[in-house]
Order: sequence, then structure tokens, then C-alpha cells
Amino acid sequence: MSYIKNLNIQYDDFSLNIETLEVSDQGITLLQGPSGIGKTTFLRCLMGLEKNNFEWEFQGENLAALPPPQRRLGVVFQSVELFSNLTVIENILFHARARNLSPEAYRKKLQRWLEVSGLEKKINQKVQTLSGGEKQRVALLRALIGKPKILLLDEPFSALDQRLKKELRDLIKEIVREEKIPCLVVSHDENDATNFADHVIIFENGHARRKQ
Amino acid sequence: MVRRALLLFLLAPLFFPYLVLVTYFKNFELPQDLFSLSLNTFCQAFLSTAFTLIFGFLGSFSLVQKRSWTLIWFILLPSFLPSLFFVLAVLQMIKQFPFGLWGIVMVHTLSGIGLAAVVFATLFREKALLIGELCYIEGASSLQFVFKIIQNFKIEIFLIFVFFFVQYWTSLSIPLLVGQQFQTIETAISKQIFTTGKIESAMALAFGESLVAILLLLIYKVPIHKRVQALTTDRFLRGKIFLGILLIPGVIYFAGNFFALVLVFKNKKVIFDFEILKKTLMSLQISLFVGLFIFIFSVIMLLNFQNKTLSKFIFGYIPLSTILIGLGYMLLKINYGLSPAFLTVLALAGYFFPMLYRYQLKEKLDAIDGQIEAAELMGASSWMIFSKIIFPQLSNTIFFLCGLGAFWTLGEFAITRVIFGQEQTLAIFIQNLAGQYRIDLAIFYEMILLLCGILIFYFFNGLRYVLYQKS
Repeated sequence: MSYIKNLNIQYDDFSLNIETLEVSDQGITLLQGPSGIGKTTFLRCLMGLEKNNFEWEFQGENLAALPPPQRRLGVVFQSVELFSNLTVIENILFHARARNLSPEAYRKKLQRWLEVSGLEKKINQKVQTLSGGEKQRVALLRALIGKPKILLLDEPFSALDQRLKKELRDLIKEIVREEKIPCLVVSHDENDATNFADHVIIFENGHARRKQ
Repeated sequence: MVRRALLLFLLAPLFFPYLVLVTYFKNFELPQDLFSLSLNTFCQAFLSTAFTLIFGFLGSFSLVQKRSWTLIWFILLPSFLPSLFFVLAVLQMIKQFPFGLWGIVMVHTLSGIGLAAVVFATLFREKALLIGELCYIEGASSLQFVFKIIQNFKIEIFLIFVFFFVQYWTSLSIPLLVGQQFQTIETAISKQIFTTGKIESAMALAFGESLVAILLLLIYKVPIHKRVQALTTDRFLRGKIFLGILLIPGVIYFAGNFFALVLVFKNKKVIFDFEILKKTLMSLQISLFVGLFIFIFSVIMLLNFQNKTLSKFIFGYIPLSTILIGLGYMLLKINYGLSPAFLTVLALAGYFFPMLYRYQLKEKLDAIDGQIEAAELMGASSWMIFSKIIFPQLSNTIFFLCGLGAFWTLGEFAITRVIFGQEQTLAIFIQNLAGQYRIDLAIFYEMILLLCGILIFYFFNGLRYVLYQKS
């Protein structure tokens, strides 16, 4: 288990107060709740993009005390944020290069991920030419290749149709289970709780709790 | 360490002139006619902005539908030409020109409506609106629709007003060329320095003028919160009749130039001797180096992408009067024997860069903010982010801005004149001809500058191409 403590956010007409929240450090945890309740803000706090004095105890370490790059998170933003001037493979390898990983550390895995995700034949294409679903998959592989401790996905399925949604869900499930990386996913879709997630955290009335 | 040194290199030209001036002149003194000068400046800026926005607003209805790039280019041209070029064409075309307040307002308006129309049209296209559909269904008249638009976009319209007001408030070239006896703060500063020699008084005026501009720019930075659901309709926004308004400035520019050239060739009074060639080469040289300096400043700015304070500072930077900048550099020339050409390059690069940053660079940098955030989370170094993400995506913009800055430099005469003290560039020569009302001849020489401008613009685009090929 990892623990998030004393996370308090207060804007004009918005507040989120988390005294202690248990988050599983295995499998997929879904963050659910109505729009504007603070799920994305919560995720941005975990990333270190919002200033907040909270604690995030993960495998004996307070991640919140570390600068964002040192938290070693794999992130997929809602807007994907691929580097539009780079190709698929350059985008994916950017994270590995930023972490100074040797090619041997990821070559085999990358080959397999590219196969599973169906991106194998598109590696030299500019990301601008890809479809929405393909972009999401590139963003996912880019997040994974840097050997993250945790994967944070902010509404990764929001712009996808049902078929693409299912494909991406299956891909995430497969890779997350294979790599044993805990994954926090923000989603609005009720079906994700039953078909996709291992654990669910509900956001309501300015608080967050684990769904039993 | 290197980045800080580079930062100093960028900031130095912005502060140099004032440090020099403050060292030399310590006792600020307010001129007696401060109130009338402020009132004049306010009147011309307010009227110019009001007319620009009214005509730009009406004209924008004809641009809501997609228009060809050539047409947009034609409409925008007067807004991006050096003021000197446009004023000459207006003077050539309007024989009974109303010099003074209305002359300033007229030239400001003619040169600004194209830009205002494009800004409004972009706003309406991107955020407009359910209103059109609703008005149509509810049977509203075109006038009711226009009022509805104004009501819904009042914050945006106010911000556009501020943007143009600041530009006209600090305008020098146009009041200098067509203001005659009508004094604005900027022209008064020029007079205080060159005629009466009251530099302290000029500095006091400049500080006051800039303070107003900076305060207004602080308002301008307020983000636009109001977002309306987009559902485009051109039912009411179609208006070919308004397109004519937008075409007038471009037509004036081309027709003015054409008639002037016909006159010049008919009378065969053109001189292109060694002196003119020297001035042309000097103009080219300064322009080219200003472009290069703008490139360097842009790179320094982007290398410091994490420095939000710097970004805010450059965005809000308004130079303390054009003439005073020139004076500061002139003192450097006199006291340290530095090359006036080099000082002019530094002064103009420092003068144009914040404008260019405000105009496009900041917006483009903000657009990839999410990518930068993602790269930072991945642990990428700032050099890696700059070299792999920022520079490749913004290089097109940088080279375009270098070309634009170099082009503006060719038509600049105020700062250059103060620093050189002589007629060393073609723009100063042209301004002198305009002062003698030899407009047709001035336009002929302007054509040479225009040609140089096109060459330099393509030179910077060529550099971009070479860089792109190599990478």
C-alpha cells in the first residue's frame, strides 16, 4: 500500500481535503467522480505540478518531497502532449534518453510493446500523422519506457470510440500486469470500474475514499 | 552560469540607455505643458484606437469565412510595414492631407484596421458562437446581433482596445511625420532633446508615458476567462460590403507607390549615386545584424524557458521613449568611442525584440507548455528540452521574426538618426525627403529599401531551410 496524507487544495469555490488515503501499489486503481471534483488536480499534485505540502509514502519513500523528475513517474496527459516534431520512435525513446537508460535495458521490451500496440510499422512516422488511438498508445509506451515507479494516466480514453477504448484498456492491462507497475487512472466511464480496474477510489464532496 | 551570462547579454540592451541617462541626468523636471501634452497624446491614442476598432470590427465580418492567404496578407500589410513606408503612400494619395491630430488619427486607423479585423475575425471564428444561431432562430436584426456580440465579447474587446491604445500612446514615427504643430509626449521628448536641450524634462516625460503604457499592459495580461461554447455560423457574420473597408489601406499603399514611381520616371529626377549606395549598404548591414541579434535574443529567451519572471518582464517591457533610447546610445558613442553602427544594431534589436516576443514567440512557447511539462517529468535536462523540443518547433517562428525585425529596421529612422547624428542610412535620407515634401522621390528610395527587406526576409528563411535540411 502507498499512503497519501494531508493533501488539501482550496480554490475559490473548490476544495479537496484528503487526510489519509490508501492507494494500492499493485494493479490498476481507478479515480472516479463527477467532473470538476478535482481528480486531475489530485493527479497533478502527485506529479508535482501543483504546489502542495502533502505526503506520499510509497515503498518507504516520501515521493512528495522529491522534485517532479526524481519521482520517476510515467505520465499520460489527457491532451497526450506528444512532441509533434518527432517521430513515433523518437517520442518513445525520448523518455529513455532523458533517464540515461542504455538501449539494452529496453530493446526487447520495446520490440514487444510495439508489436502488441500495433505501432511496429509506424515507428518512423511523425506523430502528427497518427490517429487519436495511436497517439494514446505512443504516449503510453513513452511513459512506460522510462521504467517508472508508478503510471499516472489522466483520462486516457476520453477521446476514443468504444473499439479503440477496449483496445487501449487491454493494452494497459497487459503491460501493467507484465511489468508490475502500479497504475492510477482518471476516468469518467462507469464501465472502467468493472471491466478494467482492480481498485477504485471515489471522489465526492471534496473528499476521496477507497471503494470497498 | 553560461545561461545567466547569456541572460545578461539579452537584458543589457534593454537597460543600457537608461543607466547611461540616469548617470548623466539626475534631476527630473516636469515640463509646464505636461497637461496639454498628456491630453493630446490621450486624444490621438483614444480616437485612433476607437476608429481602428470600429472599422476593424465591421471589417472582421467579411473575414469570418475562410479567406485566401493573399487577401489576408494584403489586408495585414499596412500594419506590418514600417510606419515611414505607409505614411509616404498616404501623403502621395491624399493631396489635401489633414496634418495634425486628424492626420495622426487617420494614418493610425488606416494602418491598424487590417490587424484589428483579423484579430476580431479570429476571435469570432474560434469562440463564436451559439449567438448567431440563436439570433437567427429568434429573428433578430443584424444590428441586434452586433449588440449581442459586443455584449458577449466585452472583455475581449476591451483587451484589444488596450493593445491598440498602448501602441498608439507610444507611437513616434507617425506623429513626427504628420503631426506638425500637434505635439504628443513622444514628439515633445524629441523637441526637448534636439531643440531646447532639456534632457531632464524629456526623461520625466518618458517615465510618465511609459508608466501609463506599463500599467495598461498589466491589464492586458489578464487572461480571458470568458469562453463561449463554439457553434460557428456565418448567417450574420457574412458581409462582403465590409471587405472594402479593409482593402482601402492596402490599395492606398500600392496606388500611392505606383503613382509616385510613374511621376519619378516621367520627370527623370532619380539620383542613384555612390552616396545612396553607401546609405543602402549601411541600411542593409544594420538590418542584417539586427536580424541576427533577434535570433540570438530569441535563443537566449528559449534557453531560459523555465524563467517565468523573465518571460513576464519581456512581455511587459515598454521602452522609455524611442528618442531616449537613441540618446542613451549616443552618449555611449560619444564617451566610449563605440561604433555607431554597432550601437544602432544593439539599440534596435533591444527595441524590437520585446515587441516580437509579445507578437508571436510567447504565444508559440505557451502552446507547447504541456510538452515541456511532460519532458520535465521524464527527467529531461533543460538543454535536451531546448534542443529536441523547443527549438525545432519554434525555429520557423524565430526566423520569421528575425526577418520581420530586420525589415522593420530598414524603415526605422528615429533611433538611427539620434545615434548616427548624420544621414547615414537610407531611411533617414527618405525621412528628410518627406520633410521637404518630395514624396514621390522618397517613395522611389523606399522601393529600394523594400527590395532589401524582401531579400533579407528571404535570407532568414533560407537560413531556416539550411538548418532544417542539416537537422
